[in-house]
Amino acid sequence: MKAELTLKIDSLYQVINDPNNLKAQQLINDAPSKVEDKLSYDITEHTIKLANEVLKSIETSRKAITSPLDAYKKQIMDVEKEAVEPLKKYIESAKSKMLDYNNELERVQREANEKLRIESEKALEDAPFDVFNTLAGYFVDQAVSINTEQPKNIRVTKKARINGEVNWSMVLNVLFAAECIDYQDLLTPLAKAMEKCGVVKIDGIEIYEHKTQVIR
Amino acid sequence: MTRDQFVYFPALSCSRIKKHYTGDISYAKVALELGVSLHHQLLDLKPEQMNLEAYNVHKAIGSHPVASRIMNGAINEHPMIKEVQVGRHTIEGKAMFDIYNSQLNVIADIKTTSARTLDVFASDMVKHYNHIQAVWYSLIAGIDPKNFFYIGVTSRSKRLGSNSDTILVYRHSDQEILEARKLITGYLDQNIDQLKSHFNSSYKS
Repeated sequence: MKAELTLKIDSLYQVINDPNNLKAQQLINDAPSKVEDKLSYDITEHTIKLANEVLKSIETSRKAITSPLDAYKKQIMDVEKEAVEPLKKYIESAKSKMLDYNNELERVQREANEKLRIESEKALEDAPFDVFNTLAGYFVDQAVSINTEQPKNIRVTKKARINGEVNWSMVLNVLFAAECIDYQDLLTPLAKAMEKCGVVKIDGIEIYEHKTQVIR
Repeated sequence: MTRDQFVYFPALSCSRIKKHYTGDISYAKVALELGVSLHHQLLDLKPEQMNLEAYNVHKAIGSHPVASRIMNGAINEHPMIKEVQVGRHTIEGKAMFDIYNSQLNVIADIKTTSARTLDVFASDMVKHYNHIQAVWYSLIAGIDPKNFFYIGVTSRSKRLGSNSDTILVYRHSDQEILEARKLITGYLDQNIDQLKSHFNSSYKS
């Protein structure tokens, strides 16, 4: 790996100030302000091409300077990666083991609770008034005694996954209502998707032709 | 007796004793107000009038064998005023029971809690001096403090489809009850004269 990095940005200024580029910039200033006939259309087309050429030459010059920077950054990140990868793997694996342990504790607690619930439900349902206190107290004390250890630092977040036939209409409604998605995200690929699937019409959706000038 | 009449009735309440030990708890105002709102929903309204959260809690309590049996046939928000004897002191005390089941001779108190487990809930009850409330209420109701139950409402019990696991029911241990008795006696030892002039009530020392 290189120990030093020398940046020469003079070449970029040279390209920016190159007489040909300055001339092109002058042509842009003189370009017609309106496109209203074939002549102004052709001149504008020619000017765009010139502007693109200037743009590309400046970009190429810039890249000549920044590419070594990118490569240098990548090399540094590779060194970092080599050092941290084993640590990250360990952390991931250890966290997974801790979660397994927590899940097991929860299972034990759940089963103990359920057993006690069934037992107490049966006992208390018809318990005479005079013995209710003793029985209820017994079951409450039992619940305290079966309370398992609760590991710290477990964050519980809710996530969704598919477990059957999905009502996608409802999914979209909920996401829209909660403003989790923007309708524009769905509209952008829609025309192509409809074409691909042979769908001609969807209520409330208009397929229109959007034009882009593609001179390079 | 209306709530206002109860609040202004000149008798010793457990909150006065608790405040002696907890000091100013105005930092908990928001949490306490939320608790009051849930109390109102759960104890004053019919299930069909409750908001969704309270209704979910109501259903969860209904599926808890101990909590449901205590609430069944109980009187909610029941005020009681009675002369009680603590150690060498006798004083008029007052209490507003969240749930009073006279048939079972049981009092229960609804507590909203951030605790997720029973041991944390139990420890919180003592930390916030609620064992004073348990013993004080029991003295006024003339029941064994072991018949005072907390019904802990967790945040999970407010969710749709919550079950009995989300309800934490606890009663104090003998040691905690003994400790609470000492705290009440200690408070009365220090403040009985002030209380006498404040309430202008009959008492004997």
